[in-house]
Amino acid sequence: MSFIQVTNLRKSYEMGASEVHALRDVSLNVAEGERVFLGGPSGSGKSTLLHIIGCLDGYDGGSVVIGEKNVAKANDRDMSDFRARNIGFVFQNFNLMPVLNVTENVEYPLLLNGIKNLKQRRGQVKDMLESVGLDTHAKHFPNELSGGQRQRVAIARALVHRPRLLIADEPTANLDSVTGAAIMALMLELSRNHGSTVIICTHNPELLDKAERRIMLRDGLLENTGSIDAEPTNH
Amino acid sequence: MFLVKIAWRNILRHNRRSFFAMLTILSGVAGIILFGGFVQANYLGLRESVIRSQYGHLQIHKAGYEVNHQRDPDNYRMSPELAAKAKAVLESTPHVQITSRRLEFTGLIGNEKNSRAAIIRGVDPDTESLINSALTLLEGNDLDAAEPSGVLLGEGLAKSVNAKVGDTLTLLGSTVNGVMNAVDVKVVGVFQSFAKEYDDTAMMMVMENAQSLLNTRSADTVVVLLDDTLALPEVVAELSARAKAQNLDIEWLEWSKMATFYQKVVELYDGFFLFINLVIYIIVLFGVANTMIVTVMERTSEIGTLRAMGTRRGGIVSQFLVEGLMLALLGALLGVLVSIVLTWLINNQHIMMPAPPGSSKGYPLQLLYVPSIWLSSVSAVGLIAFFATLAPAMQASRKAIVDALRHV
Repeated sequence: MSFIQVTNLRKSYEMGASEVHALRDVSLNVAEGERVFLGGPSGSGKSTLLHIIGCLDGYDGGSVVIGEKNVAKANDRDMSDFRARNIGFVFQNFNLMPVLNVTENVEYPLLLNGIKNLKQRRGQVKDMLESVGLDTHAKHFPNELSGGQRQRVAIARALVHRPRLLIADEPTANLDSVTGAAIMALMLELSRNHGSTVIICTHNPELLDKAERRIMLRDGLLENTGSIDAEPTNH
Repeated sequence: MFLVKIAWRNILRHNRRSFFAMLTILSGVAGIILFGGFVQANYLGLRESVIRSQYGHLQIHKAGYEVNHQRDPDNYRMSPELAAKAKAVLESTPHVQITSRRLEFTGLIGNEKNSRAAIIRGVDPDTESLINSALTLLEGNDLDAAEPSGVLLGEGLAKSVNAKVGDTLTLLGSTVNGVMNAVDVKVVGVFQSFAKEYDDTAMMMVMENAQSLLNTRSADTVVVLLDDTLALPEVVAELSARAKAQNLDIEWLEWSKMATFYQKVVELYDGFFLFINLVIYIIVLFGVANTMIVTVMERTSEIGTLRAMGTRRGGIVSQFLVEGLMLALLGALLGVLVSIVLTWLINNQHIMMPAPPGSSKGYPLQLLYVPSIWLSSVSAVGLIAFFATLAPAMQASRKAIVDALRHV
């Protein structure tokens, strides 16, 4: 049984008078714990697919099932709770809360998950910060950190509540190649330790070349296969 | 607690914007409180002037006086026995400070050159001067029982008959039997009250001389002065019980029922106060709304991130509401503090205000500390901030997450 089942997914946008088909009958399956790199040129639909799988956006046709959750049937409140419990996000621009320090940024998902005990929260945050090598920066605010450090905080925030799915949208695009590689390695290692399924959207050809599994999109279609991706490859 | 922390830090983060928003709120609240303090001081000053120069707190009459005295004054006056009993009951009632009899009638006062119609009040000199403590004696001395022919003239009346202290005038009146009677009176003083119209016609004389002129031993009224205006309801309740128990044939009128001028002033000032409140609250509404709209626009990407992480729409709304409320309440509380300091400063400047319309003398500008206005203005600003923030906060929570994340 696949963890993510995308079937005949369709999504289009109105752009002025014309309609842009961002996704055309895309189907794919991702197994639990799998790490998938999503590639393709700009406008190929990979961000749209990522957003839909991340339960951030709706779609026009087809179905998306994550775990046992049929995304189309959930209301906004259910989807918010589902994301809070099951999905972690890492963004290209880090998207840390500027008014919260490192500890508080990482603590936020735990609050959303209803962990009321401060000591418990702070314990989990401390462990997570140690694992990303930022335990000495716990009281720093985002503007006091380098890009690489910010992305480490973002990774810690995305994984602190042990989500089943980690979504990363161009996580190394704003980092130099050395830092980017280190961040990618850290993210993959931690997600493996947490048992999270990972979907990473990237332009970086090096990353795509090294990917355990990659899915390429072009003009809203899965490349090579036309519209249907092959069954997931287990590694 | 986390919400409060985020809100507080966001207020500090945009310190300049927060400062100007708070300044708007602070100015508005301080303005409302200062004007409210001014209005309340005027109410208090006018109330006590009215009470202590004309009406007292209560006026006791023979039962039926209010309805019938114009038509049949003599039959509805208090006999000496009834007046004495009423005084005895009143003087043993808590909070009653002074009681004094009055006999009121109209007459003609003048000399060989000038004469004017006057509203004349026969009074017990020793007690009336205590009740009339808000009257200002411009010339001469108070009435004295030892000099029964002495009279006090209102400032305007004295001018109109061209009388000075020491002058002798003739007072013409009608006895209870309908016979014209005249007495010579000596001007011992000229007074000024809060109301120019009253001073233009008013005259006071010793009770015994007035009774002699009218050929009666009765009095119209026993005027009652309390030690505390706010104790009036308590005194009225006690008087009612005692009058019933002793079967006293009396009725009474509270000062507020007689002081129509005071009531009109209160209505007028209440209208001003309401209008000024409305204007200021509208400014506060737009100030807070503007700040929060800009805040929401600037934080669109943050909203997207929070929503992506699983924050519910309600959580986003709560975050902005807490921020808007904190900003507004902080501004309002600072406004209260500033108004307290300004009130103290103004009260210590001894600024004189010009005589208000219908009044014959100016008064010192004083502002009252009115905690109920502090509370109501802070509450109103809180409520306004809630509604001013609600719309942008709701809008923020409804943004498509993907669009919000893309926002730069």
